[in-house]
Amino acid sequence: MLQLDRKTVTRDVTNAQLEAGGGTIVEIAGDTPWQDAATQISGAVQVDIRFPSFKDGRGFSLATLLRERAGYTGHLRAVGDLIPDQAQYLHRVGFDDVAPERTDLEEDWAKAKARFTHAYQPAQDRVTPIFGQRVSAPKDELAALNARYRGADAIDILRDAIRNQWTGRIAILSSFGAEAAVGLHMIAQVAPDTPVIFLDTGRLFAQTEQYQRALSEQLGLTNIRMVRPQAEEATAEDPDDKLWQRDPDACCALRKVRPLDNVIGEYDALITGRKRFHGGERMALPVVERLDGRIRVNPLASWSAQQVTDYFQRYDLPRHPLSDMGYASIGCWPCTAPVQDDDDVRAGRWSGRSKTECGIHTPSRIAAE
Amino acid sequence: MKTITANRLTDGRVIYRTAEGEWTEELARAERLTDDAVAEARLAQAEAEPAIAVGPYLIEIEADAPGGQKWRREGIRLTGPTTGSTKVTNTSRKAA
Repeated sequence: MLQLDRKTVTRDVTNAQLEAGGGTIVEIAGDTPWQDAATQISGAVQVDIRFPSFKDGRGFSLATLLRERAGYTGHLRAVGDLIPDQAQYLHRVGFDDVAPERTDLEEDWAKAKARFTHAYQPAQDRVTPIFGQRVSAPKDELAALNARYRGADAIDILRDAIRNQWTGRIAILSSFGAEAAVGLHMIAQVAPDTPVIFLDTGRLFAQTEQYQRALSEQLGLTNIRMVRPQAEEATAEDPDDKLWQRDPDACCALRKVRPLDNVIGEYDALITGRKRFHGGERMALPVVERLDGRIRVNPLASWSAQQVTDYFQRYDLPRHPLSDMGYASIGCWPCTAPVQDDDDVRAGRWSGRSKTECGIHTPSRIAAE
Repeated sequence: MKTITANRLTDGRVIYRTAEGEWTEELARAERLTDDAVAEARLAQAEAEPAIAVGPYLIEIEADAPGGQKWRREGIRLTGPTTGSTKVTNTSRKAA
């Protein structure tokens, strides 16, 4: 006997009928017209549909029709000459269990039943089809996480994300820029072996490279992953080192977006240090979001510039050498400028152009435009 | 007389369009279209709902059953599968 774990809502009815003294088990042949079968099974608590041969599939249709059109909600059992390969189909058309003639294949039945975990179409097994999961689950899941993290301390969000939510499948993305030490300091306390993805674009300030080494060592981060552009691509697309001038989007794609895409396949979630006060598109930044099918966790989303400054002071964290020189947000040297006091912190990035994001935080179809 | 049929996107079920622009599984509730120009206009409306109905098209109906040349095909779509149990929906056709 193989249970098919159908999501059934019929147990109460069955028990009630059994207690009332009624409730019979009816066996019908698989080739019975469903209207006739519907009459024969009236009052039954269990219906056995007999398959004379595994090659005769009419019992499958009959099961579905009894469930769907006759509205039969009781126990449905498949009996007769059935083979393990049919386990999944029997489940999908609405059988609760199977009693095959051959009883020595239980292992094969169990294996066949577990072969597929998802369904494309709705059927009598009441499994939520994939499109239904795509539509409802991710949003609900994100909303639930965002609700849970609302008002939580950044370090608690990080701890939960790393230890509970996406254990072993999460990394932090860091530029080792002006504010990076905050998130990295928290990571160092929670799990210093968390992978830190650092995009070495080949156009970084020498001060950034130096700061990256010093800060990693001071905080005890043990898993820095340097991600670099492919050498052949760089030679082909940017032979004269002037791509940043001609087409900054193409330069970011070559030096940041594609190299990152190559490594993030290993992770379900990425932590970023983006904050709403950065302005632009970031003003509506949620704590947890989905980007191209991957989770982004932004534990510092709600932080203010003042909170960042205070955090540096409280833990006596070293500042990026350039931040004392008026650089509030630091990327590659050709496209980063200092900002005036009353500018947005990211005003010095690609300044004089409409570009505000490099593309690693935007959906791929937008970045590709 | 004509009506509009299609398959529902979410589960593939055969559906018919009502006069109110809803979709139903019951042919009896489907809109009856006698004027060809109106029928084409209704079909254009149905085609504008690809998130609900896939591949809408016009079929012939007689009374409450599929008619015209494709009466059997539409009969099977309406009541199938045909495993020894398909109810013949158009009794006049059965005699013929």
